[in-house]
This record gives sequence, C-alpha cells and structure tokens, in this order.
Amino acid sequence: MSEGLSIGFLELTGCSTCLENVLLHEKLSGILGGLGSVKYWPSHGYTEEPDSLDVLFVSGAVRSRGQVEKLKKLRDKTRVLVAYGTCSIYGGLIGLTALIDASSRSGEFLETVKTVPDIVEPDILVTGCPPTRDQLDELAGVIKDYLENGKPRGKVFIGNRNSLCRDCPRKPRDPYRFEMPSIKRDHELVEDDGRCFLEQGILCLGPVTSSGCGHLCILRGRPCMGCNGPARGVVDQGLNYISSIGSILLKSMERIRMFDYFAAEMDKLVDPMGYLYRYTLPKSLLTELALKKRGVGEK
Amino acid sequence: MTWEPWLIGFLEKWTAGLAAESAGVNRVRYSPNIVLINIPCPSRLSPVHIVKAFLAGADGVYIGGSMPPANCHYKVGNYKTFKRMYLLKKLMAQFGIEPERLRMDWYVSPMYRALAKNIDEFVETIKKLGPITSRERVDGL
Repeated sequence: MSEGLSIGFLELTGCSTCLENVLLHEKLSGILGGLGSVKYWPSHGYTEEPDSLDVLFVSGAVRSRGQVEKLKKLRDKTRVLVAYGTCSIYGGLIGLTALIDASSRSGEFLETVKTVPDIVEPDILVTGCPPTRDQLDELAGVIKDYLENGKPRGKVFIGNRNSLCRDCPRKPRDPYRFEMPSIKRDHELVEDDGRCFLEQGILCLGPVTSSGCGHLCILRGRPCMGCNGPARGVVDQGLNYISSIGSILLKSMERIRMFDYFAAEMDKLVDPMGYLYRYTLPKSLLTELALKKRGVGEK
Repeated sequence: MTWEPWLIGFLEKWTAGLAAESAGVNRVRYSPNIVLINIPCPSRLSPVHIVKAFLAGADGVYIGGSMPPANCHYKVGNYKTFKRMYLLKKLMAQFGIEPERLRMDWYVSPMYRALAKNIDEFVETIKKLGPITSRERVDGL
C-alpha cells in the first residue's frame, strides 16, 4: 500500500521536535512507507520541492511572509495536509510573541503570529505538545482511510476533545462544595495531598483544556498548562478560565469579606496573560481586539 | 462627521434596572450614547460576552449590580461578577486595552440620579480615551 507514496514535512517557526515522532511510530511509519518515501523535508536535506505530495505534515506557527507563500504553494500540491502539533493550530509557545510587531524590524515578518488554519485549509488537525502515542494510533487509522477511500468531508480532529477534568485522576473532596482557597504559584505548594489542584489553590488549566494528552503532567504532580488547546465548547481558554475560577475562588468568604479582600487575593496572579494563554495566545479574542485596536489589517 | 462613543450597559434587573426605569419616569436625562440591557444577574456575563461586545464595536462596557454587594438577589452574584471583571481588567491592561473601558457600579433602586451621573461620567471617560478600533463607524448608533 505504501508503494510510491510521497510524503513531506514542513517545519515553520517552532521547535518542530514533534515531527520526529511521526516516523518513529511503527504503525504510522508502516502506512507512510518509512524514510524511503520522504520526498520533502528541508531541515533533513530533502530540499527539492516535489511536483506532488500525498501527505504533508506541517508543524510550527506562521511568522513570516515567505512561510505563508510556501504553505499556500504546497497546499496546492498536497492531497492530505496534516497540521501537526499545538503550534500549527493554536500558535503554541511561539504564539506568545503575537503582540510583538516584528514587521518594523524587517518587512519579511508578519505583524502577528498566524496559524496554519488561518492560511490554508488543513485536512487533519493533531494537537498536543507533542502529540501522544494514542493520538498517533488514531492518526494512522485516519490517514490510511484517507489514502484508500479518498477525502471525507470536512476537517478531522485527532484526539479527545472533552475537558481534562472529566476523567482526571485527582478528584475533589466534595464536588458540590468545591472551593479554591487561595491563588498559589506552583512552587508554593508545600504538601501535595493528591486532591484536585484547584482545591489546593494551584492554578491548573484543566477545566478549559482538552484531554487528548492523557494527563501527562497531572499524573506527575504538575498542574495543567493548557498545551493541548481548548476543550469542546471553550471559546477562549483564558476568558473561560477566568469565568470558571470566578465561581470557585474563596467561595466561603463571599458575603463575609469586602471586594478588596478578593482583589488582594487575585493580585497574586501576577501575569494572567502569560499564564492563561501560554499556548493559545494568537487565537485569543483579546489578541484579536488588541490587533484591531492597533489597526493590524487582516486578522 | 464627529466621532461619538457607543457604549453598552448590562444592568441587574432587580436594582440597577429599576433605577434606570425610575430615571425614565422621573425625566432624568442621561447620555444617549449608551444602550442599556436588563439582565437578571450580571454574574451570568462571561468575560467572553464582554470581549465580544468590544469586538462588535462597543467602546465601553458598563455593568450595574446591586448595593450593598451582600444584598444581591441571588445572594452571591455580585462577588462572582467582581472577581471575573477584576481579572478581566488585569488581562485587558496586559493586552494594551485600557481597563477603564469596563466599569462596574453598584446601585439600589432609588439611585436613579446616581445612575444618570455615573453614565455621563463614563461617557466622558470614553470620549477622552477615543475609539477602540481605528476603523470609522457609521454614525447614528
């Protein structure tokens, strides 16, 4: 089946380490035909642009005009375009520069960070930083289906889109009296008792993050940082998170203390933009508003 | 064509909304630049709603709740509103959007004169800040 397949890898702005996992995954590599069918991978020496590609994996965010053109050109030549990794779909860590206008330095740069779905229409979206083994298993099946049966309608999203809290192993003591007692930064947690991070006062982005990652951080004692992108029904990770912690923060102190008490507690969240939008800043509604305010054109 | 600010206000219907009605009955004038919407409780407003109002072209968003805060019709709604809007203001400041464009005030129903005065003040603040987007807007709304 893998006879004569031509696959390509395109690395845009980002670390692009996740692309290495594609050919290391046995099932996926078997379907794609291994290293022998790689026709285009600029960073690994396959610099010649082929006439047509069956599968193209794109990782990283779009930062320069040259990348936009290259992406559009390759889209026309490709049957199945896979936006691979969080950076390509939500901007990722590179997206934290979305509000820095680099175009004044050099005309080559865009005014903001764009993502792959902003420029072209991808066929398959795979989130994750990096995408996990389960997601790659699912991706292998989907790509096989694509190559054998042709293009199904619409985009395919790989991974579980439910909220991370839904099957989280850390349960709260009583879900009906759920309260966040304070805002702590994660190094301030002295004794971890294995309960929900929010109930211990640690900011965990689990409620608004989709659960494709399989709780990698949470099982190892770290709060979620939101790398897997927003869950189903979440419009904007940061704004929806504000809404949810507004309901649970210091709930038992409501009607007892005045507003300045809550304000003092919330001032402990020193950098809300960096914390709540660590991986999804270019897709934020507030970024859209800030860029509109500056008069940055297309977005 | 001179620029006029366009504002949107969400009033809690049990107190601030009643104050707005009393302002009408008592012929107290306030600035016509604001469109007031009565909602049962401002804690229903998600920050997403506020930012979408800005994106739709509102230059400022006004929220009226009940005073004292513990007197909320739904017991704790004002506190939740305050927490959400406080964090949203912090976020807006980081994104380079003036946090003064979002204002909260607390009312009891006879405070219609204060409501009119605060709305006029808010309109003046927004006039000083200027339009939120550089795009020209159609006059009349």
